[in-house]
Parts: sequence; C-alpha cells; structure tokens
Amino acid sequence: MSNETIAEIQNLTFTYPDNVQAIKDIRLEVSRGEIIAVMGPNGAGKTTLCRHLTGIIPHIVQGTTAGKAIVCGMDVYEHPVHELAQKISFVTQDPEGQLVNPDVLMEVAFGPENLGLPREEIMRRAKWALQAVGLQGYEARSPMELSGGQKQRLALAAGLSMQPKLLVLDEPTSQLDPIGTTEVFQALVDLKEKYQITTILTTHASEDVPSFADRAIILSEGSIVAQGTPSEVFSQVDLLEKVGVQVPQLATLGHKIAPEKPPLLTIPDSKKQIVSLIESKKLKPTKLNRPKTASSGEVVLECENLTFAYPGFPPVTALRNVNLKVYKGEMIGIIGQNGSGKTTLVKQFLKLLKPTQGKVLFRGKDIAAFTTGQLSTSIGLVLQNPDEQLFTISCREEVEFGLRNLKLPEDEIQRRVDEALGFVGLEKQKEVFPFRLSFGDRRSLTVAAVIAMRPDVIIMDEPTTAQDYLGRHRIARLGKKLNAAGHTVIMITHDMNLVTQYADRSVVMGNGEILLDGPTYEVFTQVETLRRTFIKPPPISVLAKELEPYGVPGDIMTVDSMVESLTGGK
Amino acid sequence: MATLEYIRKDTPVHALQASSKMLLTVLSLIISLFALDYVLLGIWIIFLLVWWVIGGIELRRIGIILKILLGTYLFLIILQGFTYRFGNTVLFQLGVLMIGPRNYAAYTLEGFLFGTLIFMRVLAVVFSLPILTMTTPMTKIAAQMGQLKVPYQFTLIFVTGMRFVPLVFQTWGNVMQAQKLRGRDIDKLPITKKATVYTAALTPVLLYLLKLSTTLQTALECRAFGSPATRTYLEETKLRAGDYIAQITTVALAVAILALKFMGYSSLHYVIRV
Repeated sequence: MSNETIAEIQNLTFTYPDNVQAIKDIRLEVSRGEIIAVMGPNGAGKTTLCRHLTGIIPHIVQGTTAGKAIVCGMDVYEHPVHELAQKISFVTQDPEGQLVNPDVLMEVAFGPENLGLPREEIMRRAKWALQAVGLQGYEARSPMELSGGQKQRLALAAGLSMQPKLLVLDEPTSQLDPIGTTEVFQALVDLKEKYQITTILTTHASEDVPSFADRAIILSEGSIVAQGTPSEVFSQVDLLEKVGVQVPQLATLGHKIAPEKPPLLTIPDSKKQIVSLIESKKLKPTKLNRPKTASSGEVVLECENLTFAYPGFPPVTALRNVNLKVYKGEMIGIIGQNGSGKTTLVKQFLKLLKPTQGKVLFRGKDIAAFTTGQLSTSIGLVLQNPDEQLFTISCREEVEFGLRNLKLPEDEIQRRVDEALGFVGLEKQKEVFPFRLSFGDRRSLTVAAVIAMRPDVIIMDEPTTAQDYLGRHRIARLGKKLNAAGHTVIMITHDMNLVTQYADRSVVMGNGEILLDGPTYEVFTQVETLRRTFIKPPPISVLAKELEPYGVPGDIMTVDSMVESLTGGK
Repeated sequence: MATLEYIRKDTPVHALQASSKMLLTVLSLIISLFALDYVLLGIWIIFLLVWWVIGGIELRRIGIILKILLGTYLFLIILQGFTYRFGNTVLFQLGVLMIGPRNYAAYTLEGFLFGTLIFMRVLAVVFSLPILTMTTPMTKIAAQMGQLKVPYQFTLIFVTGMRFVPLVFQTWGNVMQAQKLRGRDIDKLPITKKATVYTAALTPVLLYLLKLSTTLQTALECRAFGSPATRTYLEETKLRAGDYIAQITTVALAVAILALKFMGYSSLHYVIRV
C-alpha cells in the first residue's frame, strides 16, 4: 500500500427519487493498493456506494445528493463516466446484462478497443485478464453458452482488461463455486501486488474476507457501523450478528470458546489455540451422536443411466450416465462447480429437458408419460431467478395461479394461499404487486407459489444467489421447515455452510457426473474429490480434521457441533 | 433466430472476410431488384446454394426458410393471380369484379407465374443472409462495418441487438417454463387461452428488458464506450487470396446476369411481361 489517496468520500448522503435514503454521511479514504471489502445486509447501501465511486451516480442514476466523491483525482460529479472509466472499472452483480459482445475474446477486448489501444496491447490485456479469472481457452465461445458463474468471471475479466487504478466490484462472486470465488479473490491480491491496483468490492463471502482484504467496512442502513482490519471487524461478533453480517466460522468458534481472546481467522491460529486449551484441560473433546439420515425407504425420484447433451455444433454433454435415487423425506444438497450439471439434472425431473439417454422415474413410473404441468403437482421446482417466475399483479394471485390450474374449489384455494404466504412470512403483503417486494421476498414468494401446490418433492435451484446472510438462512430454514412437514427437499447451492448445516445428504457433481453421494458429514471428509469440482469444505471441517489427533471428531461440519464436542454440550 | 445464428465450422466460406460475404448480400439485393427473370434469378439462387454447400450450411435449412416464407408465397400468388395486369389465361374465377377492362375475380396463370417470380426475388435475398450470418462471427461483421466507416453507435446497436434478441427469447422461455411448473400445460391450451398466457408473460419480460437496458448502459459507459479516442478494431479485415477469388467470381456472375437482363434477355417473355 502507498500513501497515495485513490478515493476520498466526504460526508456523502444520497436519496433515490422514491425517497429511499440509501447512504448517510459516508466518510471514506482509500489508499492506493488497498483491498477493501464492503459488507452488510441487502439494502445497506453497498451498491449505492459503488455507483458513486464509478460516477454511475449521478450520470446514469439520479437522486438527491450531498457531500463529495473524489476518485482517482476526479470529482465524479464533474467527469463523464467514459472518462472515469479510463481509471476506474466497475463490474456489477448481474453478469447477463453486462455482456454485449458475440464472443469471450471480444467481450474482454471491448473496453481497451474503446480506449483506442494498439492491437498487441489489447491482445496482451485480454489474454492476461482471461487467465486471471480462469477462462483461458474460452476465447471463441459465445457468452450465451457460458454458465452463470462463468459469465460472472467473464464480466470481471472485462473489467480487469481496462487495467484500472481502481476496481469496483459489486458482489463479483455471488454466483461462483467456492474455489472459483477464492481464485477471484486471489486474482485481486495478485493485481494489487503486481500492479498496485486498488479494489473496493461488496461481498457476503465473510469466510474469504480475511484472506484477501486489507480492510473491512460494515454498512448498515446506509451508514458505516464498523471498519478496520478483518481481525478488528470480525472481533465485533455481537454487532455483526445484530446488523446481519455473517461472522466467519472460526471467529464465531473463538468467540464461543474463548471470548476474551482476539478473533480466530486462520486454521493454524485456531488449531494452536484449541490445542492449548485441550492440553490445559479447559476443553475436553467428545464424540458426537450423529442423526440418522433417511437414505432408505420409499424411492420418490430415480434417474437411470441419465445422459443429456445440449444440442449444438458440437453438442455439449451436460449429464453423463447419472444414477440417483431420492428417498421420501430426505433433505438433499446438490453441490458442484459452475457448469457441473446440477440445474440440468433437476430440470430432467420435470421434463423441462428430455434425456438423450436413460430415464427418470417418479414413484416408479417413467415421467415420459406425463407433461411438465402434471409433474409439477408432485414435484415443485423453484428456479434461480425469481423475476422470471412472477407474472401476476399481487402476491395472492401469484400463489393462486398454480392452485387454479389444479382446479381446486375456491375456499380451498384461499385457505392454501393464506397458509403458503404465512409459511414464508408474506401474509401482510397479500395484495402487494410482486415486483415491489425486496429480492429476498420475491424469492420467498416463488417458494410460496410452489409449496401451495403441496408437491411431495420441492427443489430449490440456487435459492441463495444474491441473498445476504440472513436471507440465505431464512430460505434454508424454510427448506428445513418444509422437510420437517414431510416434503422431500432438494437444494442446489454454492454455500457450503448452508449445506453442512441443513442437508442430511449431499450429492456432489462434477463434469456431468455424480462424484460423491452420501451423508453430508461423510461427503465433506473427501477433500480431494471435492477439490476436483471446485468445492472446498467449510473452515470448521478442515479444522476438525486437523484436530482429529486431539480427540475431536474429524467429520464435524458446523460451529455448533464443534462447540458441543469441545465443551461436551455445556 | 436459430436459422441464422453463427455456427463455428472450418470451411473455406468461414475463412473469408466479412466483406466478401457482405458483397454477396448486396449483389443479391441488386440482382433481385434488376434481374427479374426465372432463369437469371434461378442461376443466382443456385450460385447461392453452392456457397451454402461450401460453407457447410445444411441444405435442410432451405425447408425451414421455405416454411417460414410460405405465408409470403401464398400471399404473393393470390394477390398477383387476381391482380396481375397482363394476366390473360384464366385458370378459375370467383365471380365478376370488373374494374375497367379487367375482371379482378379471375385468377390467371400469368399472375400465378409472376407471383412465383416475385417470390424467387425474395428467395434470392433471403438465401444470401445465412451465408453472411452463419459463417461470419459478429465480431468480424462489426469490424468490417467499422472499416466501412459506419458510425460505431450503429454497429453496436446491430451487434447488441443480435446478442439481446436471444436473451429476450431465453427470458420468455424461462417465464413459460415457470408457468408450466405451476401446473399450466401451455402446449395443450386452445389458442385463445394461449393468448392470455402470453399476455401475462409480458410483464416479467418487459420489466426484465427495462432492467437490462439500465445495466447495459452502465456496462457500456464503464468500459469507456463514448470515449473520444479513435476506436481500435481487434479483428483484421485485410483481404486474402480466397477473398479475391470469391469476390471476383461473385462480381463476374452478377455483371453477366445484369448484362443479359439489360440486353433484353427474358426466359418467359411469351407468358409474362415485366
């Protein structure tokens, strides 16, 4: 880090035209080469801050403002965005709308081309940027052919190729698999070390923040409520929990077992402290009673030698000879790297895609004989993007939609509407236009619309994308609640903390195949196989493995289990 | 859209620069305008289909195009059959509708043939389009447009249009999927009910488009679009030997056809007059 100031924000306050005050009296100074992680719940003002740093506010998005933002020596109010863009790159959280070119190479070259750089320099930057995000070899591919995570990497590469002084990233890893996320953060560290590039990014990835950020800033209701080194910030466990920011697992563990000590942020530090507490007999590791998983009994869904290829030149094989049995009453987490075939697999269950080979059976019957509409009464699928699943003028009508298709009597429809909206906590928004709800509530509404139809199996495809810590757990708890009510629940997610906390069984996919399938606590001990599909176990699992020689069960996956084991449940 | 989308292949047509294929498209337009004749248009269409074969474009796509254009063809032969002013040979008549000396309720052979000729004119243009779009990446087309001094704003509108049309269709497809997932078997619905479904689907699609346009504007400006610097085009547009051969052959044939036409050649002058 140098002493040069890259950004200076003075008493910045901003109110959107609909009178929502997004940020209040923000004061911030950023030095060259710093990596700053801005964290906070949805609606805390993170995106608004990013928009100020890049001139999007006031040049594209308008509102009422007070204060000043000087970035890379330019007052953002006085310089047009294309001028600011020569020194500041901005990558927004929606990759789809940012990709405008017909192939990957052109996408990355687009910015440098606009700057009028020589061809050789453009090629050099494009190559470097694609390598930094792990997309080398994809140059000729259309962005449309990429998975969500790959699109996000591409958007990031397009920002990197501008070789800016300041990189502003708004949740750049929200759709990435765990190792993909770590790689992106590592790329930021490399950029800082090699080119002194300053980065300000918003993120919910608390576990990774200590490994790459020099400073963490916590925003809540538009104000900075904490800032400092990750260690300083994550030591304020009570504050973070109050505002709804996830505390890294190790810091939570440290807070629970030795609150008087500095927060634990790394595996070696945690191991050292716990070992010393064990040796001094302050902690006594005990074995845990594992709950039995339900991988037996009635099979509700079954795939037999399922292969699927997306048509094209050449066709892209997304599933390879998949065999899977889903038992009644299970809560399953499906995990795997971007593009590993997770969504393709669940779409087969409802005939949204038809197998190239093999078949899918629902309660022993080949689903080929049914329509998607018929299957949807027994298998509910909540797709990734809630905005593509809402098409009526009120929450009530949204839930009624499916029920009317079932031709239920009116009183039964209204009963189920009330029940489903109540289940997701939207009973008071019954007459509200769905698109006026927050993103998290829109997601909950799509869940309500599906559960009202009372399907036996409920599948949620990446329900945690773009959700904050509380939102993610709210959805996962909803899944657990449905599971407890007798539904079989399948959840696709990149959030390993959620899988380990809520799923009894985990199915790990890689390259269209099932690599691992079993009780979650067993699956997460297979570190090498997980790595092959870009999954890394939560830090607490890694720590448990390290502490195995000291009597700690090696298959622990959650902080609560670790505390239970170390303290004997006291 | 899928009929015209770029498909990566290794063929001599793919290796050509966009300008060679753009020239072919422009000449197809000129031929269709000035060489209205069965034989001349037929020769040009065959010439285009040779390009198809060399460019690895499957001929089965002809069927898809003809299916899409069937309505146009029916419209043309019906309209011309009843209204062609030089029509003499009556094939059938629906009554008497005399306007001046002409009975517009009479369907004539000459009108039918003229309608078919007009349709060939359409085909001569339409068959040239896949040669450009299916064998040329949009980047090459954009670079060529840049070299032709087309303002970059227009090129970008063209390129993003090509990019976002499938995106809109994808969103539309996802909304339809979401409806199916809530028990509505759209495919089995009568056409009147389908219309209601489609109307409901418009809300999320339109909202998505609005959001997309703001994101797009942000993304473009943040990547220095609109910068006063002279833009560099990464794609090379320099002509190679293959381009010279293709362009000379294309121009030579086009000139020969036009020359024949202007010298008065007509393959069916005894049946129809143009």
